[in-house]
Amino acid sequence: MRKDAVSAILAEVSRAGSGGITTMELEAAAKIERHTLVKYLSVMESDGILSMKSVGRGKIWSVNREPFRKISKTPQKELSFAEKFVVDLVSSLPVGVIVVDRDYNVQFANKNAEECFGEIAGEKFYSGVLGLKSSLPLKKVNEVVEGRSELAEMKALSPKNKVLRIKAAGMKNPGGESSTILIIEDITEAESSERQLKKAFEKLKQMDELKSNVLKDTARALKQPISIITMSTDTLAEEMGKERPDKERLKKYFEIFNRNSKMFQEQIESILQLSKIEAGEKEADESANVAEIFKEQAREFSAAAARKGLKFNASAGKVPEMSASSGLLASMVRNLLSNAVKFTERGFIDAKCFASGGKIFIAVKDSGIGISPENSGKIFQPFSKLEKSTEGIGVGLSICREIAEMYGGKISFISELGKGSTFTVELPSGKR
Amino acid sequence: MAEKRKILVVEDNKDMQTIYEDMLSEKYYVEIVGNTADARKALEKSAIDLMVLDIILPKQTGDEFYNELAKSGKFRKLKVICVTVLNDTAKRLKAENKGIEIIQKPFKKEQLLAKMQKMFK
Repeated sequence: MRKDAVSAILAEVSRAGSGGITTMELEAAAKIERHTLVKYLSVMESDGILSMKSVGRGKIWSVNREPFRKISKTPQKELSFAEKFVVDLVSSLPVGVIVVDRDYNVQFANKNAEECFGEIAGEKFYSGVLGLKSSLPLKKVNEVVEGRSELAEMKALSPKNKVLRIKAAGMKNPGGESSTILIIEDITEAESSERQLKKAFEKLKQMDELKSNVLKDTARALKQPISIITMSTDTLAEEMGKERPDKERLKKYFEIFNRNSKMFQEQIESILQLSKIEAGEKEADESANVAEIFKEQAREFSAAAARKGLKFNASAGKVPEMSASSGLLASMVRNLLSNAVKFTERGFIDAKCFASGGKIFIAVKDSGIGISPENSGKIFQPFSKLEKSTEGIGVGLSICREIAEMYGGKISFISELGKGSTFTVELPSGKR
Repeated sequence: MAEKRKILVVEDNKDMQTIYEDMLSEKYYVEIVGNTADARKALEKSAIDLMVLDIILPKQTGDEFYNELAKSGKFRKLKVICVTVLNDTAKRLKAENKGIEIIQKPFKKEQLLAKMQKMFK
C-alpha cells in the first residue's frame, strides 16, 4: 500500500514536472522510488516525526530540511543517501519548484525558486510570496491551488521584470490532502527574442501583403486597357469581315484601340521608369530648358482637357537653363498634367512655368476632386492609388518626387477635398 | 416578338461604355451609368430586367452596391451580371449570392449575350 502511495506521489510529480523536469531526472526519481524511498517513508513513520499524512502534505520533496521551512519545527535528522540525492536533485533543478497547500502556504521551495523570488518561506502565496503583479491573470493557478482545476499554465512578470512561465498541477497526497506543485521557469530571454522574431515576422508579413496587393492592383490596372484592346480588336475583325464595313464604326474602334494601347504603354513605361530611378540609374544630364519641355507637354494635354470639356490654360515665362535629363523632366511634367486632367471632371486646369529668385517653378492647379487630409500623407508613395477606379497604377506622383529630388528640387501641394489641388515643383537652375 | 428587355450597365470607363452600347443595343434597351448612385436612381425610376455591374467603380464599388441592394430587399427580381478584370471579388460575391452571374474582361459579345439569355430563360 505504501509503495502504491509513493508511486502515486511520483506520478503526480512527474505530471506536474512535465516540461519542467527532464526525463532523465524523472527516471532518477523513479529509481529511488523502487529501491529506497519506501524505506525512507517507513523511517519517517516509525520515527514519529511525520505521519504518513504530513509526508504527503509536504510531498516527497519535503525531506529537504533546508528550503522546506514550513516544517522546520521537526527535529533535524541525518539524511540517507537516497534522501540527500532527491533533495539535491530537486534543489539543483534549473527550474523553480514551489509546493503550496490549499491555503496558499508555501511548503517547499527549491533554490531556483528562491533566486527568482527571494525569501518566500512561510508566507502567503499571493501577498508578496511570488510578488507577482496583482493585475496578472493568476486566476487559473488559483483554481488549481483551490482544487477546482487540475492543471494550469501561465506567464507572469516578476518584481524584477523577469518573464516567468508558471505551470501548476494539483496533487493529492496519500492522505487525501491536496497541494499544488508549481514549476517556474525564467523565460525572459527566450521571450524577448521570441518577441523580436514575432515583430520581424509581422513586418515581413505586412510587406508581403503589401507586395501582393500592389501586384494585384497593378495587374488590375494593366488588365483594363488590355481587355479593351482585345475587345475592340474583336469588333474591328468583325466589322472588317463584312462586305461593306462601316467606316464610322471602324474609326471609333481604332480610336479606342489606340487610346488604350497608348495608356498600356505609358503604364508599363512608368513602372520601368520608377524602378530605374529607384535603382539609382541616372540619365545623362544636358542643358535642359524647362519652359520648352513644359510647353510641349502642355500642348499635348490641352487636347485631352478639351475632350473632357475643361478650360485649360498654360503659360510659360522665360526660365534659365538647368542641367538635367530633358526626358525625365518631361516625364515629371507629363505626370503632373495627366493627374490634373484625370482627376478633374469640370472646371479648369491652370498650369504655369516660371522663374523666381534663381529657381524654376512648375505649378499645376486644377478644380478636381482634391485630396483628403488623411490621404495627403500617402500620395507620394508608389502604388498608392487612392481611387481604385481611375486609370493608372499610382506611380505618377512618386516619379515626380523622385525626379524633382534627383535634381535637388522638391514637390509640394495644397488641396481641398472636392475643390481642387495645386502641385508645385521647385527646381534649382544652372549647373550643379 | 415580346417587348425588348431593359438592361442597366454600370461602368465608368468611357470606352467600355461604348463597347457595351454596341454589344447590347441591338437586342435590348440599354441604359448606361458611370457610378452606383446613378445606378440606384435608374433602378428606382424604371423597371430594369438585368443589371451589368462592373466591380471597380468610383466612390462605391460594385460588390458594395450589390450587397447594399440585397440587404435592402428591394429589387429582388433583378438579375445581375458582375463584370471584373480579376475575378476574385466577383467569385466571392457569386459564392455568397447564387443568383449572380460573373463575366471576366475581356469577353466576347456572344459570351455576354449567351449569359443574358440563360438568365432570362
